Amino acid sequence: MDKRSFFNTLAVYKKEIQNYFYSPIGYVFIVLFLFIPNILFFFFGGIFKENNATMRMYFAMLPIIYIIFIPGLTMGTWSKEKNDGTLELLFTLPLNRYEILIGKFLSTLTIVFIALIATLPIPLITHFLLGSFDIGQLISQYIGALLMASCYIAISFFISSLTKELIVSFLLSTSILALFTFIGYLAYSVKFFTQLEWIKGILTEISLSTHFLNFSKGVIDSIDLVYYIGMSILFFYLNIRVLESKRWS
Amino acid sequence: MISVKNLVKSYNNVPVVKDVSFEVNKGELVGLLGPNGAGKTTIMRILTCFLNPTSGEVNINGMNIFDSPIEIKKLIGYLPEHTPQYGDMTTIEYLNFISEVRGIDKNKIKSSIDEMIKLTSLEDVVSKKISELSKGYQKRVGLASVMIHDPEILILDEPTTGLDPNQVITFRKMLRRLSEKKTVILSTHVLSEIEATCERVIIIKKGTIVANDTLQNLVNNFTDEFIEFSLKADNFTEIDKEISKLKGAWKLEFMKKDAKDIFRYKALISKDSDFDKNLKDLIKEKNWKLIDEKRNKANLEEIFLKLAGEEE
Repeated sequence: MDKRSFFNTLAVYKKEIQNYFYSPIGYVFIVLFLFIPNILFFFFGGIFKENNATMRMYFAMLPIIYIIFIPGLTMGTWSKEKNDGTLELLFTLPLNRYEILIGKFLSTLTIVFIALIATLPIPLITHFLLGSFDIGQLISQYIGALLMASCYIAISFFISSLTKELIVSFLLSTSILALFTFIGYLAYSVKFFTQLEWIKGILTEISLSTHFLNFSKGVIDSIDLVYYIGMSILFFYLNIRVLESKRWS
Repeated sequence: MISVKNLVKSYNNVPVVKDVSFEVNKGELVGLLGPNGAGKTTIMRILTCFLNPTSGEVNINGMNIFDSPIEIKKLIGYLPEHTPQYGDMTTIEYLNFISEVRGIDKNKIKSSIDEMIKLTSLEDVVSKKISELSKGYQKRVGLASVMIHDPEILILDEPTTGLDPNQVITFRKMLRRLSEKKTVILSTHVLSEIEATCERVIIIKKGTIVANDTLQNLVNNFTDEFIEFSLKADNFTEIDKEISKLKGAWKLEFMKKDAKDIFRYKALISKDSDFDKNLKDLIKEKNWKLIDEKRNKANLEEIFLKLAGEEE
């Protein structure tokens, strides 16, 4: 990436961040992201039952939270630009498609990052209440949470590029993310799958949520890194292809 | 210089631009004129690398739109139709964003923006959200944003729609001043726009170019005439029926009643048309009375009507 590309990406990034915080989306996302999981966490997560200073239950819920929250954040990424006609503006500026995509992606990831950072008081409080925390595990959990978010963002960006309608974009993203998330749980819980090792293996490998298990245990496995980064790049690529094809349509 | 050769663009196999070729030289101010849906916007979108043509070749300053889209986009300031903008941003934030993307030197961004704000008289709305501005102001923000990097080429799609008459006059003045240094292509379906600003006009109809000339040449070379005549007769229903059956005019319309029994018509005819003879015969046959008849050379409006209008 040369200097010009960097500044282009940065300009798009700044514009996107501004847009997140000028509309209520950014705030609503961060507040709900904090509020809802915490309620679930304290009432149903059973941190005190386990009597164990760990965020594992919290992070175990994260894929499900992402299913709703990330499409909410990203549904407008391309759909709104198309709807408002600003896509024409953006694409006739001297910007590469990937500069626009990366700028948008990093801005969305930043919002998720802020929301994740805002959850830090939970481990800190539990640290004082229940004793020492495994910092290594915590770092691994946050890294995993960000990588997993990248993947969810990449998929919902791609879906947003397919339609002009915000609601369609949201519903389609949620459904597809839910599918990719739950096949992992199915592999473990449905008897049919658990008996067939190879199917179970495939489902586990392609599921968005199962790759997070190691991270939440505090283990950073290269397979999981490759999976999340690879999936993100794959959907970025598809996204660019869709945007390019619009020029031919 | 902009050179377009055999440009074709189809959407789902339906061609909207059919074999269009033209050139625009440096410093020229050219108007694309045509009714809505003629393909003006599509041509502009191809020139600005937003769309790819189905076939044909477009070169801008010797660069091909497929090979160097980014370099071409740097040369162009493009204002799309309806002036899409990021409504959540304020005027100044938006201009800042455009300046950054346009790669304007950090130290010069402020002065460039100030200059544009002065040029388009945006002083009062600098810190207002764009979505809260009136259509006219939004258009001016759009114009400021496309000129901020001092582009060599301006491509403006229907730049004056939504402006009030005063703003239109200011805009035209600005455009004439700009066109001394820049190449400008603007599209419009309003003829007076072209008359007021452009040196050359390219008239487009259903995706093909039907005329490409200076306004003066168009008027000079166009030999069609219009006849205005009034008839004295008793029965309007009959007269209207008979007149509308007359052959030889490509446009014929009833204008007004001069008196209770005098009816005025206008017909557009080509030079060698036998409309006049047909009319005289009809008058004789029906025993009407020709009150007056005026022949005039067709003006620009009629030329446009003939070239680009829908046949009736």
